[in-house]
Amino acid sequence: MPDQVTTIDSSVRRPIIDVAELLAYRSVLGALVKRELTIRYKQALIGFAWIVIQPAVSTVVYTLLFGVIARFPSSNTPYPVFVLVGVVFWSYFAKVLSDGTQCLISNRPMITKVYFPRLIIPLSHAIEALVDFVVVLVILFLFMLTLGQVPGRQAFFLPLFVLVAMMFSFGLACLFGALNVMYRDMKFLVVFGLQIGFFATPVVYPVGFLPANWTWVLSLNPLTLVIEGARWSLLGAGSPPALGDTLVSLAVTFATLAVGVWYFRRAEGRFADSI
Amino acid sequence: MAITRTTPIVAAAPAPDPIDSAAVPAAKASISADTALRFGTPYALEAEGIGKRYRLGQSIDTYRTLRDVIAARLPWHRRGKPDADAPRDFWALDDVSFKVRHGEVVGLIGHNGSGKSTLLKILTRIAEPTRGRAKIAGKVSALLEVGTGFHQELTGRENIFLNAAILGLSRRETERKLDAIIDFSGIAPFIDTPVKRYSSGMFMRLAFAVAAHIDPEILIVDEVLAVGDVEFQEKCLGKMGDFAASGRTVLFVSHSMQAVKNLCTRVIVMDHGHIVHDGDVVDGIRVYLERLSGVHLGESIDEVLAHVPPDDDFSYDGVTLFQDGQPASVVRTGTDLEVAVEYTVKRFQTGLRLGVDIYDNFGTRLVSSFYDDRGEGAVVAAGPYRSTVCIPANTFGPAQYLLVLRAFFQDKRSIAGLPTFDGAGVPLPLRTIHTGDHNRVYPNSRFDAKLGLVFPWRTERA
Repeated sequence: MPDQVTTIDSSVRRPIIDVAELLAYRSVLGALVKRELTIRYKQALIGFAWIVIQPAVSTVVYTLLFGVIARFPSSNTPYPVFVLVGVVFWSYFAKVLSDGTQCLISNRPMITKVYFPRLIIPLSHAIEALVDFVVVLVILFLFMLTLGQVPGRQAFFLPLFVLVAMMFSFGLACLFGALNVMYRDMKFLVVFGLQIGFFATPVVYPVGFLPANWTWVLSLNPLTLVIEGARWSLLGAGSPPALGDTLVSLAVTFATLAVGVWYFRRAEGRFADSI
Repeated sequence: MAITRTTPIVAAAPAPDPIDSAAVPAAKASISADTALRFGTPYALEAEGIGKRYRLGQSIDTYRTLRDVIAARLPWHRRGKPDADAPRDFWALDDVSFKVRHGEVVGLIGHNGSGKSTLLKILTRIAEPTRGRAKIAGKVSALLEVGTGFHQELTGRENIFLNAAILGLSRRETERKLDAIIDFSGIAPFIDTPVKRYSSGMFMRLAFAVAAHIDPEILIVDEVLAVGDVEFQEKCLGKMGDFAASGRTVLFVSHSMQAVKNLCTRVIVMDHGHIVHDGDVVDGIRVYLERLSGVHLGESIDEVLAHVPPDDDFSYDGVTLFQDGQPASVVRTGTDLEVAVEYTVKRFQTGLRLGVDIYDNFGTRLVSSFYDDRGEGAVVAAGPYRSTVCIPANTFGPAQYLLVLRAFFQDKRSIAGLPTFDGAGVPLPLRTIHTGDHNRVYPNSRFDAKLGLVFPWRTERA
């Protein structure tokens, strides 16, 4: 594919970021995203409907459990829309992380038979999961409109929160995907971590649920910024993210992304040998 | 890439040394010279001191679990036998250097485990070298298998796009070549059917159709040809021949000496991670053969037998070639050849099978004959035996052959042998002097056949 001189040198480390190479292989990225979507659409018994059913059922269950029975506060918005915003982002994160952890192992035949920048594999999952995300987001809009809720001007901030969610999820997916090549029990750790993480993230409750002097702990989890920010921008619920908390969350996001990509690129040369 | 030049411009390329450039036929010189000009180097591929180290002995599987790693560090963890478990270094490639000029077609041969696949993986950037460096000038495509990334649930058409992207075609290029690919595959009516409903033959045809339409300057091919039926293999070879003839550079790994001989202008032979021959094709194939059996083909039969590893149940005691009742070292093709094999069955066994295979110089098995082919009974009791096979006059032609003796018991795969083309055996090189009837009236014509068989003819005025 590269139309110039390719140099292979054992004494030169590959650069951590090589945008030119990723661009040169963009057709592989497109093909992989398309493959994942096509396969999932074909294999699932009820096809595309599955994307909708999952968050819908979760929303109903959480609403009954936490909204009606436990009476969690929901920042003065109807609990179902409140929780659905959390579910949309949490599902995206969980999907990218769990698919990303397995992605190298499940593409083993390709990794041992052909070269392309391996970052394309977790990247394809981060992009592919966006499709589900957008579909559910559209449903959320329709749901909001039926309840008479119209998003205000702050809705324009939404893409920023999506971007943070993507960067954080992709960073973790890179880290655990690469670790899973070396240590095959990493996937159990991820499943367990996701179970804990669900409750450590304000999906079914607002940040204000915690005593005010403890909310900084939640800001260490960038998904707090993402979900609370999305609730503010879409529903007008709560207040805009505080500067201090936002900076902490962004710092954690960039650190995760940097560590994930760095570790992935360092381990990349050994993938074909140890997978 | 512009292929419009008609006059060879080899002279314009930076200092091509005369010996190497002579290996590139004049017809394709213009393209390769063009490529050489574009990259400012006469070499498409330069490998320098490449080494690849693997760790052995850690575990059977190459990966571990985090649990194992943590458990091994716990203070109460029982230490195993440290010597048996200690990782050992194993160099799959050691200081491998070579250069390939633009337009050369190089065969890479060697027995399994010789390092040739590792070398391909490093040159295609799938694996990283532990030492050394390589430089590749030009657009590379690597075919280490056909149909990489194919997914059973996708249709033929969807798989074409996926596979083509993986092989380095852009989406636009694929769209432009789509009709040609479908046409070439010969399975147009099924192109929108999921691949899981294809027969294996259809799968291979589609996969190869994609591979045949990539258009790199340097092609690196692993034993792709080993799969599929004869028709498919011929199609593959034909396409590779076209590719080579058009002046592109090809690095080709194969176990088929015939294919290597037909396609390649140069052969690199690998053994235990080293290059043991680089150059002439026929010489290279001979070196490969010798390495394979561990025997120099000039050695006497007794020396060959001395190399045969001992076996608890069986031993070769002697092999003699007779012609006209006299021991023969060079075989006259016009006289019956008797091969007498003396051996001892050391223990009572289920039936012994003893046979001889005749190979040509390129490892093609021409004849395979067992002593019980006609069901005349087999040796079952322990004791010394002597079996003699008579290969009739006018079987061999004026060429070199390799006889391989093979013995095995019915309940045991094979016994007592050196590695040869197809499993263990005793390789016996055969030199011939042509005294047979084949082409006797035109003694100076070239021998293009494999055997010197002569059939009875009858010609009469009709």
